[in-house]
Parts: sequence; C-alpha cells; structure tokens
Amino acid sequence: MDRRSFLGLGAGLGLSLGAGLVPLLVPTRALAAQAPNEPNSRAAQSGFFPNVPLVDQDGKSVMFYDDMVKNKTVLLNFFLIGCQDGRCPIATANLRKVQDMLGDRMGKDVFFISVTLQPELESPKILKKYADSFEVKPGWSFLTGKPHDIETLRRSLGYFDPDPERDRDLNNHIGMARYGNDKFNRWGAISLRSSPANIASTFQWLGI
Amino acid sequence: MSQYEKLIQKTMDVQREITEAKLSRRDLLKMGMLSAGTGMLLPISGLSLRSAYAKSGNKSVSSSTVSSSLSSVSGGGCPVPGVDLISPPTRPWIEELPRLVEKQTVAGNDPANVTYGPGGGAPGPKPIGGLNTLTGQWEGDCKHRLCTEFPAMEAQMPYHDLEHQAWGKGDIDPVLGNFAPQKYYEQHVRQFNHVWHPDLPAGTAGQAAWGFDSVVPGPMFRTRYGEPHFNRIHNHLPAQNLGFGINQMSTHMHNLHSPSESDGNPLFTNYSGQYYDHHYPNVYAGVKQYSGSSSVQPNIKPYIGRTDIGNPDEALGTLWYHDHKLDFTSQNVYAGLAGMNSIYDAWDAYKNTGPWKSNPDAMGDLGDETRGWGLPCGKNYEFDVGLVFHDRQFDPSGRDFFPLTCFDGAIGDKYTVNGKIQPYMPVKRRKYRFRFLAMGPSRTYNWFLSNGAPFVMISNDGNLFPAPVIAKNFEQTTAERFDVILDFSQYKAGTEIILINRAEQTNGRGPTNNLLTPGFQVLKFVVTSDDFGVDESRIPAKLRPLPDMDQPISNSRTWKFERGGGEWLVNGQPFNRDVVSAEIPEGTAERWSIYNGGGSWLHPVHIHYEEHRYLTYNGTTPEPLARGRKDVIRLDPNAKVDLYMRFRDYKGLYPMHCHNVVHEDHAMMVMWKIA
Repeated sequence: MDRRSFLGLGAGLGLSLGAGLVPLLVPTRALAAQAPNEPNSRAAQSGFFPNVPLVDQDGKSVMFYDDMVKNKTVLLNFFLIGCQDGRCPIATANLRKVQDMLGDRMGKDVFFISVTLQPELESPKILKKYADSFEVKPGWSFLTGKPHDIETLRRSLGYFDPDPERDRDLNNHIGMARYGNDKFNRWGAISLRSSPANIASTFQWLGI
Repeated sequence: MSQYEKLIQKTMDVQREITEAKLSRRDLLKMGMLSAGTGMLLPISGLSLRSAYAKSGNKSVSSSTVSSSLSSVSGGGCPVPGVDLISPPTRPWIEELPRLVEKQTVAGNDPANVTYGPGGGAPGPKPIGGLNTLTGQWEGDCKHRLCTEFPAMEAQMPYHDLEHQAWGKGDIDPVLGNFAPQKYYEQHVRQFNHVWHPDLPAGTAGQAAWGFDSVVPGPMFRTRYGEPHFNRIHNHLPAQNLGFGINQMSTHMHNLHSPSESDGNPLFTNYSGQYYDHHYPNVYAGVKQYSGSSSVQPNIKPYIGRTDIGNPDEALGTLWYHDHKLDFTSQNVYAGLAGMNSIYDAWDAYKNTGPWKSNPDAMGDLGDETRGWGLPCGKNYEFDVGLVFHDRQFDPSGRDFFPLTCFDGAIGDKYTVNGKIQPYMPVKRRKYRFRFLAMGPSRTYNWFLSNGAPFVMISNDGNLFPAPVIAKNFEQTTAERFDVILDFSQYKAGTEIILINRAEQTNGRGPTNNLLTPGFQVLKFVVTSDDFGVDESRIPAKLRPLPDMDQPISNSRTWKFERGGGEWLVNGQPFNRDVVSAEIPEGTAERWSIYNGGGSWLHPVHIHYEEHRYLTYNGTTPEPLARGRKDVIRLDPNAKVDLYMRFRDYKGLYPMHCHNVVHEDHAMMVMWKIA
C-alpha cells in the first residue's frame, strides 16, 4: 500500500493532514517487528494479556506478556497479603504444595504468577518477605507495579465484579486461578480451594 | 454508535489494512507516519496516548489490540458485543438454512465396519484401549486417564475401567445388563473450514471450526427406544486450537437416560488420537421398576405396551450432544462441537400405536406421521426439522472471538441457525415440527413470529406435554429445547414470516427482561408453492401423559447457585474434582430445592440423567410450559424451585451444573452419584 492510499484512509478517518504527518493509531503487530521474532499467540492478539510493565519480588522489571506468559505454561492469580477471610494464605499454601508436586517442571516449563491487588502497599521487598515466609522455590513470581497497570491487567483478565460497589471491596476479589498454555491458546480456570493434587493434575494434560 | 465507537471501528479497519499490507516500521517511517522524536506513531486526534497501542518511552501504557485498551472503558475481559466489538456486516437472508446432516450407521450397520484404530478392537462391552500420548504406549486396560488422574472418582464407578453397564452383563444384571447394540455409528471429530456467512472476510473459503463429522452443527441422529445404539467417537482435533478450545473431549448426550460411563462426564477425557466408545441402551427411565425387579411397586397404566424397557411416559425426545470437557466446555461448544439426536418411541411402547386416522386415540411419537400422535415428519424426516440457535461474535477482521477471560458468560452480535448467520428457509404449505435448540453459550431468547401467529408448543426439553400449548411467544435459555408445530398451509405462496428474538441481553449474565421492538430477526420462512403430496400429520388433542409422582420422597437436598469471591459456586463451593456431593440410593425419589443466590445472574441449571418435575416454582405453580418434565431449570435472579426427581436404573457419577457454560467452566458444578 502506498502513501497515497494511506492518505486516502486518513482522509476517510476525517482527520486533517498536518505537515507531512498522518495521525494514525498503530497496532502492536507493526511494532512487534522490533520485539522477539515469534508472533504473539491468538489470545494475546485479542487483547487478553496486556503487556504492562511489572516488578517481581527480586526487584526485576518485567513486561507481563512478553516475559511472563509468552509461549509458557502458567498459572496466574491475584492476591492480597492482608486478606481478611484467610482465602489468600490458603491459596498460597495450596500453590506451594502444587509447586512441590510439579518438581523440576517449575521454572522450566511451568511458571506461577501471583499479582498483588494492593500495589500501593505491597512493594517488591514486602512481596519477597511474603514469598520467603512460604519458602517458595524458583519459578514463582510475585508481581507488583503501577496501580494503573495492575488495574488494566486485572480487568483484561476478567478479575472484577460488574457491580462497582462490590468491585471496590478487595475482600470480594476473585479467588480463581487462570491456568494456561500460551503456545496452544489453552486457557482455563481452577479454584484455588481445590486440592493441590487436583491443581497439579491439570498440568498433566495441558500441554499434550 | 457514538463518535468514539465509530473511531474505534475505523481504526480496526485501518489496522487490518496495515497488517495485510505487512508494513514494516521502515515503511511507516518513510511514509512519515512516525514522530521523528519518539519514533512512536502519532496519536489519533481525540484519543490520548494512553489509549494508543504503543509502548511509550516511560513504559506506562498498555499495548496489544483494541480490547485491552478498552478495558478501562467497558468490562475489560468482557467486551460488550455490538459496542466494544463489532462483527463485520453481513446481509440477512443470503443463504438457505442447511438441514442438519442425517447421521447414518456404519456401512451395512455391520460392527465389522467400525474403525478400530491402533491398539483397538471390535466394538464390545469391554472398554477399548487407546494411545497414551504422554507415554506413547498403548494402554489396554485403562480406557482414559480417569484411572490415574482422578483415582478417587474412578473408584466410584460400578465397573472398573468404565465397562459398559448395559452390554454383555446379562449374567450380572439380567434386567439392566442385556441391551447389546442394534445400530452401530461412528463419528470423526475434526477441524475443517466452515462458512458462517459469505460476506465475512473469509468469504466462501470459510474459516476454521471444529465439528463432529466435520460439520457445524454436528449431524442429527434419529434413534429409537428399544433399539440400543453404539457410537465410537474418534478425536482428530489438532493441538493448535482456534484461539480457544482444547483437543480433549468428553461427549455428553443431553439428556438421555444413559449409563454413567457413556454419559459424557467432564472427568472422562477422550484425548486427541484416541476414541471413546459410547453405548446407549435407549431405555425409558424405570426399567427396574417396570420389570418388577425393584422394591418400588410399579403403577403400569393399561395403555402401556411393554414393560422391559421402562416407562414410556418417561420418554425423552429432542436431545442434543455436545462436548463437556472439564473447564473447556464453553470453548469447545463455541468451536462447533454440538449436534442433535431425536429419539422416537418404540413401535410397541404403547398398546395402540397404529394409524391415527382410524383410531384418534393412537399414541406414540414414532417418526411416522400416519401413526400414533401423527406429529409432522414426512419421508426422510423432511418436516421434522432441527433448528440449532447459536449467537457468535467476530472481531472486525472476521476472526472468531471468544471472551477467554470473562467469567460472566459469552454472547455475540451475530445470530446463527444451523451454522449460518440469518438464513432463510423455504417451506411448503403444510405442517412442520421444529425442534428448537439453544446451543448457547449464554443467550436467552424470547421468540415471536413477525406476523403475530402463535406457536403450537408440544414439548419442553424434549418431553412431550400432556396436551399442546398455544403460545404467542416463549422464552428459551441455554440448553433448553422446545418443539413447535407451525402450519404454513394457511399462507399464500410467497408469504414471508420471520422468527424474531425480542429478549434484550447486553452481557453474558442474563437477559434484562426488557422486550425489544422490533427485536432481532433470526430466521425467515418463505412459503413456497412446491408440491409435498399430502400432509398426513395432525395436531392431536392429547399427547404424552405425565408419569406419576407417587413414589414417596426419601430425602431432601438444597443446592444454592451463587457467585462468591468471584467464583461460581454451588453450596458455597466450586467444583471439586475429588468430591461426590450426594450419594443417592438407586430407585429412590428426592426433593431438591434449588436457589439462585441473587445478583443479576440467570443460571440455567441442568441435572444429568433424569428429568425433573417442579413441585413449586418461586412458591407457586410453574407456568404452563413448565408443568411437565424438564431437564434445564431456568433459575432467574433470586428464584427458588422445589423439584421432584427419581434416580433409577444405572449407577455411577453424574454432574449437576449451570448450563451457562462459562459459569460451568468456572466451577459451577457438583458431582452426584447413584449408588
């Protein structure tokens, strides 16, 4: 497509042309020419995994989709350290057991991602303390970031209540984990109240 | 559409153009579309950089496509069809309604012609092994991974390795164990190209879909009580999906009285490269009681013809089959894995099933419009038509869209019937029987005819009423079936009548209960002057009597369907793959109270294996269409129902779950067991 057709498009958008500049929105596909060679998965292209910048418990900066999800098999959940009804510690403890069951697959082809719902309060240092208190092994990232980015992430991943009142109350947060295999676009969910054996068994068939 | 929405739509068109043209960054730079300073594309007027799909220097902007950028505008993972996501335009009434393919037996109905596959054998009452794709080994003694993945549940089944209960077990159970197949079928589940509408960008080449026998919807089976059948389902699905779905299946025949191992339990997986054998004895509920081998005294009505295959007043009719794989049911059904099965009465189920002209009291839904109730049928079922309703969403480039991260439910802005968007159907000037199926994933319909003509309703969820019910309109939620007779003889050739959905629904949670005017036009009937011989069908004054509810209730249970902590729960718990939530002695009757925990959610609750009757619906008698037997409960917000249900004949595990399949996948399910 040559510039003339594009100008035609630009005119079609009802925008005036400035001095040699055509205002346009660009899709990430075009920019992805700079990013790693492989294309993003279909699920990512549909916008379910915004590529927001986050920080893990070791202080490392990561991009959510590119570094944490792309081509990987992951289990993801949102949590708070100050959980009032105790659901979060139970969930984390369950996942800790699952981590043991998965043995050396953790960190190699299966990764856990836990994102805080209180980024203002839970800094990487605090997340590290929390992770250490459960003695988590490698392959499990605890993430925080800018409040706007965390908000974008949780909305895109479906972790919200349509009622804004209920959504504001952090104690209503969703205790399900999303598990998935990005390479095959397989995304499901499992309750973190399930037994560790149930959660671990998911990874037996997710990648075959 | 607001200015903003128009802008978004145009932008998506441009996006498609750019990606199709495969422009590189250098191209864009050359065209002067990038700012010299940041190297980023200049934002469109009226939208801030925040909404732009670019990584900025300070890395605080979300990238990816429109949906995530709209996450702050709408429902994030739950885009609203027609607002956040708009399918490409398609002209209505361009394609003719396809009839469902009529499923045929294997060649000569000879079991030798059922494909064995590696390691497998002839169809038989013992389970067949399959390739364990994890180890690459053939497993002869464990039919599927239930044995290793869910050992606690496998132990709950009556026979090890899920052997067929109703076949070759005559020495163990002479009443239930001797229903060897009389018909042999085989299906191949594959990915193929399907044309939802030629106006979509994919055009007449179509786009990838998954289907039983490579068609969407899958074929229509015509089966009969008293004629047990066998179906071997081969899974050839690929590892790479359609952007959603998984190549692992468990096929459920909704809502046949099938032994648990053939029922399509979410835990019993059929992996790609394997097949799964289903055996359907095709018996009415009450086999043990009617054969005299139950402690419950039978009340055999004088019009009953035979007593060895259960009570014909418990007959089902319009069934459907669909994938039921744990956690992926909604995605797999959306990929196209659903079809229908019409089951007819045994020829001798009732004493009087003869020609109705000479004997108006003749009974039976026989697949022959000259006999029994004489319901419209015709040769080769020409006038007994399945209509599969499914709403679908496409992104502006025409790709199938499924809201992978939405917990609410999934609806779409395109209405399909039998796999085609807004088709037309030429009809002859006589009576037709239409079997309406709401395939989902989550929509509730309220059907009207454009000329105000009424529907003659004859069945609900496949169960014929005691007498036809005339309705100006009727509501239908996911998984419900309604059989309707329409008589086109009263219209001149050339008359057009449109089937319209007037239920307003803006998200997957449930309808708003507002009636839209004019509503959505879904299917157009065009009356023709084509010859059809003679219409020998009738609309009888009476249909199937209701079975009694004489058996005393031995137990009452309560099930609350609600949202808690963002999960979909039953009695406060998400589905637990290790737990049997109710153990019910075979042959007993129970009262189940089912509540909707509130909120704006509609839950179509479905219990496998047996039909239920309402004792009360919200404290009063149910509406006329729901006074008979059903298998899908329309649980409106804050609704409460009490139902009577019996648990008869075969043993094993069965689920109860919400049939808004997105809720089901986010764990609104329990497993119960007949012991």
